[in-house]
Amino acid sequence: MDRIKNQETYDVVIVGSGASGSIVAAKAAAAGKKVLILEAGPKRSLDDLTSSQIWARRQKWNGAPVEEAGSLQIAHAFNAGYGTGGSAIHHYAVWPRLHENDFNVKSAYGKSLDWPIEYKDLQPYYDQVQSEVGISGDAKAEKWRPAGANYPMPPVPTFNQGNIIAKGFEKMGMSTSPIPLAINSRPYNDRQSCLYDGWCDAGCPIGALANPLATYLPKAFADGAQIRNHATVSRVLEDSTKGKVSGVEYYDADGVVHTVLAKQVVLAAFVVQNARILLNSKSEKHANGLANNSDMVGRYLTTHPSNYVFGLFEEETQPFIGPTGGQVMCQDRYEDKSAVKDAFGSYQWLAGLAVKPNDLLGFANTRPDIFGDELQPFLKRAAKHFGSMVCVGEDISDPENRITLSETKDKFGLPIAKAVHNLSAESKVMLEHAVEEGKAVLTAAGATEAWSAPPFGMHHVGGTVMGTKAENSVTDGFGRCHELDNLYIAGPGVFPTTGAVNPTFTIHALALRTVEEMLKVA
Amino acid sequence: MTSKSSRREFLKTSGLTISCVVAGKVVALSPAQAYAKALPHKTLSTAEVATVEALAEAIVPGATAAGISHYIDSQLSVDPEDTLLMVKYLVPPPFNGFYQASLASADSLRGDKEWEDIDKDGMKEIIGQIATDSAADWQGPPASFFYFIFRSDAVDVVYGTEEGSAELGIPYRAHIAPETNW
Repeated sequence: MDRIKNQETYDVVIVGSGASGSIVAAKAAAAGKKVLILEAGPKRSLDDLTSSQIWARRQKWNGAPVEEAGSLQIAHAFNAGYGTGGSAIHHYAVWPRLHENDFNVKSAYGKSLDWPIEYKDLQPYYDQVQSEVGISGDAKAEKWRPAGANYPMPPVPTFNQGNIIAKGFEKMGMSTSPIPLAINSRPYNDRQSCLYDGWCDAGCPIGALANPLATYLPKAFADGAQIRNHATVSRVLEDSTKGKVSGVEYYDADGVVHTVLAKQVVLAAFVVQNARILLNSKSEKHANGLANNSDMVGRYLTTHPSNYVFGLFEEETQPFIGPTGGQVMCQDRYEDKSAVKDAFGSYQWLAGLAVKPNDLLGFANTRPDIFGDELQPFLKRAAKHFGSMVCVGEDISDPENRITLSETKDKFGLPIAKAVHNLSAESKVMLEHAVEEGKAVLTAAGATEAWSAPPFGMHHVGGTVMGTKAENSVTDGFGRCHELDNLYIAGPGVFPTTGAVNPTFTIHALALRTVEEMLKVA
Repeated sequence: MTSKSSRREFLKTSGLTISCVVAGKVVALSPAQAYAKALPHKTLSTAEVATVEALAEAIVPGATAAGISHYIDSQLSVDPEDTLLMVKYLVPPPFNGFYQASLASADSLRGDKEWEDIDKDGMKEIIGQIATDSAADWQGPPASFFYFIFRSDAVDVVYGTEEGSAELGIPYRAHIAPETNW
């Protein structure tokens, strides 16, 4: 192994260029800080986002494998991203806010965890990000929405599929609203409006969808932030004399080790890799890794237990049109987390998702039992008459669902991560209840047949949770590690609970709060 | 380097397309073109190619001519980090073992017959056994799991393209059209 002992020094080094890393970089650079982003994956620009479900697989995780176990695995290689922009490149831009009752689940229900902050602490940051990025939605129609500024853009239009399924909800006595989407329904902040071609999942090359290549990374680079691709961070370096960190060590594409010094370090490498880096950052003083004196790093790994339901309709649904994340939302099952007997957790419905024929979530894979001569007739019908919705459920934060280090090593000789996640009995009942409800909605909407897929884990959350003290968490409410006051963690790994909404808006809001604090204390 | 040239460079160096030399020039081919030209496979054996084509055609009619064997072969011939096969979402690399073990088990289901001698009902019976984990003496990854991934590969080559969307009567509506099908 070659070793280059660089003495490069930055004010802020950020590990990861996704949703959280990009906003931290932009704000720190704008404040005049010397910023370096270290990104494990390749360089990527908007022009690389080819409209193909096959080519889009390049954007998914391609780094060190993650060993998975448990009854509801987190599907790391599918959910995580790789390259400039991280997983936010292929995210669907569904940006609802967490609800007030997501922040005190332990106090209210005796399950999961409490956050060290409340919704009102995060609301100004939601509002600021919403204004800077732009969200299309109808706040009035979202009767469940917590307090916040109105959306800066009108909602994305609903098309046949969304309108048809919305009628099913209405017949069931349930409410819907347009999904709040970080997708431009009209030109906003020099970014053009959406064309509704259903390629969000493959990455939006026109900048209508708020991925980091279109939002905060250009601002960060304009203000002088630098990015280094193919830079795999192996460990955070500790200055043991001061109770602080001094920088990070990383491998470049050729396996050469580099050292970068920094006054502040931000781990924004997503849930699993953040925990892996900390666990791999062992020293004499920290035999179990950094920020881990209480054995909290890696614990409370969560996901959104989720389930798709599908239907075929007599009417043409045009399922190839619209956003991949869906058109209409229902959060009627959010407020009371224990409303269903023997179940626990809020859930929301996202309905009217644009879908392609192929890939893991393509409509061909919704009926794997169909093959041979029966396949094309099914596909031809589904191509124009298919409807889908997905239940996004709340997980129960469990310390035994966790990230640890494997005995297996990656190409640099570093232990890879192992991620164990089991579905609780109460979450299982919640999903079973939701699936029956979803099929009933589609039937009420006119589906001639309705079916479901197996449960799956949507999004990665937890593993480096925030809390009130080192004994119960890894970071404080700002994402600052309890044990090392210039080491911060950004991203969904700090969420103590999942709520039942897509996490990317909250990731941005929390990261904005983190960098604001960093700049105050620097 | 512009992003377009970067993409071309990636295509050129990653081995993600299949190429042949025509009039002294290297020409990138789609798997369908590679199949039509009967280009040699790099990783799959002759027996494995026969199994891939027989199974895929029975699961997704049209998969053979769309180049399923060249598609899988080309993707197994590159660094696992560069593969575009859907298996990368569900199985840790490397992926060759997953396919080769499963194909060997599938091959044993034909008994003494050649694949081309098995009629449509016979193929349906074999596919059904694989899809429902009822194939006797199956070794390697679970048969139904292999079926799910392999069926997706065949759907990729037949319907995951602009031509495939046209076949289904729906617009592809690319923002940036793929320079090759995969």
